[in-house]
Amino acid sequence: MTTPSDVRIAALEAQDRGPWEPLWRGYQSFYEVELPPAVTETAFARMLDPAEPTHGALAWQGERAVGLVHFIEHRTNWSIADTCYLQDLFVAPHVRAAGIGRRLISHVYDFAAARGCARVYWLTQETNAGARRLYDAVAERSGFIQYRWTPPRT
Amino acid sequence: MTEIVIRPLASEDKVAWAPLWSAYQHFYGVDLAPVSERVFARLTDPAEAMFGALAWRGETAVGLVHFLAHRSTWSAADVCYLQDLYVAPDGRGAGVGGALIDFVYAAADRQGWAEVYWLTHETNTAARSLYDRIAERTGFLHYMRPAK
Repeated sequence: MTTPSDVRIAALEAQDRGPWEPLWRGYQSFYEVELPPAVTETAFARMLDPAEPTHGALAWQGERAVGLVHFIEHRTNWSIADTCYLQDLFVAPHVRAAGIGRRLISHVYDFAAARGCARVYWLTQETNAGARRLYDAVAERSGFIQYRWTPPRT
Repeated sequence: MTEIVIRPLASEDKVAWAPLWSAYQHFYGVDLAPVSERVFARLTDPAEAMFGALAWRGETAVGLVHFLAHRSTWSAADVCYLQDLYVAPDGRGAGVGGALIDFVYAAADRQGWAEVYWLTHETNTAARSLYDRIAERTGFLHYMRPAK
C-alpha cells in the first residue's frame, strides 16, 4: 500500500525524459489524443528551459515515476500578477487513490505561492468523476465551462 | 441601424473603453479598479501578448473583447484565451458579440494560434446560445484556487 509519504515530488529534469514519456502517453490515452512527436519534444524542452513559463514535475515512488503535472504561468486581465494554469495531471493507474494527485497539485500551489501568482486554475472533463472528487476537496468549482474554436488549417 | 465596426484597442480609446470594462465587472460582481490602469496599458503595449478590440457604432463604443496568447503543452503554437467579452445592453441582439469573436478568430488565423478558447458561466444562457453556434463546448469544467 502506497502512502503519500513514500512519494517524492521533484521538478522535471533533463534526465527524466525516459520515465516521463510513458506517463505523458498514458495521459494522452486517457484523453484519447495522440499528440505529434514534435509537440512532445517541444513541451519537454520548454519545461526544462528556465526562460519559459512552462513547468513540470514528477511524482517518484522510489526509482519509479508514477505521476506528472505540467503547469504554465500566463497573463490575465483580472490581476496584475500572472495566473498559473495547471494544464496536465496524470497518476499511473496502479497507484491511484493514494494521495499522489493531491501531492502534485500541492506542488503547483507551492510553486504559485513562491512566484506570487494570483491563482492556480485547471480544467477537467465533467465526466471525470474520480478526479473531480479530489478537485472538489482541494479547489473550488467556479461554475465556468469551456468553449473552443480551432482555426481551419489549409 | 448604424453599421458596427470592430477596431483594435488604441491608447486614445481609454475613455470609451473604461465604462464598458466597468459594466463587464459589474456583470460578474467583481471590482477590478485596482488593476485597470495596468490592464489597459498591457492591452495597448505591442510587447505584451495581450490584445483588445472595441465594437463601434458610429462614435459610440458598444462592446469590448480582450484576448491573450499563452503557451500550451498540447501544441507547439500558443493558444488564445478570449478572457473578456462584453456588449452594452443597448447593443445586444445586433450581432456585436459575434463580430467581436470573429475579430479574435481572424487574429488567431493571422498569428497561427492553435485554438481560441474561453470560459463562460454555465448559467449565462444568452451568451451560450451564441457560443453554441460559433464554437464547440468541450465538456471541460473550470476549477480554481487562490494561491496562498
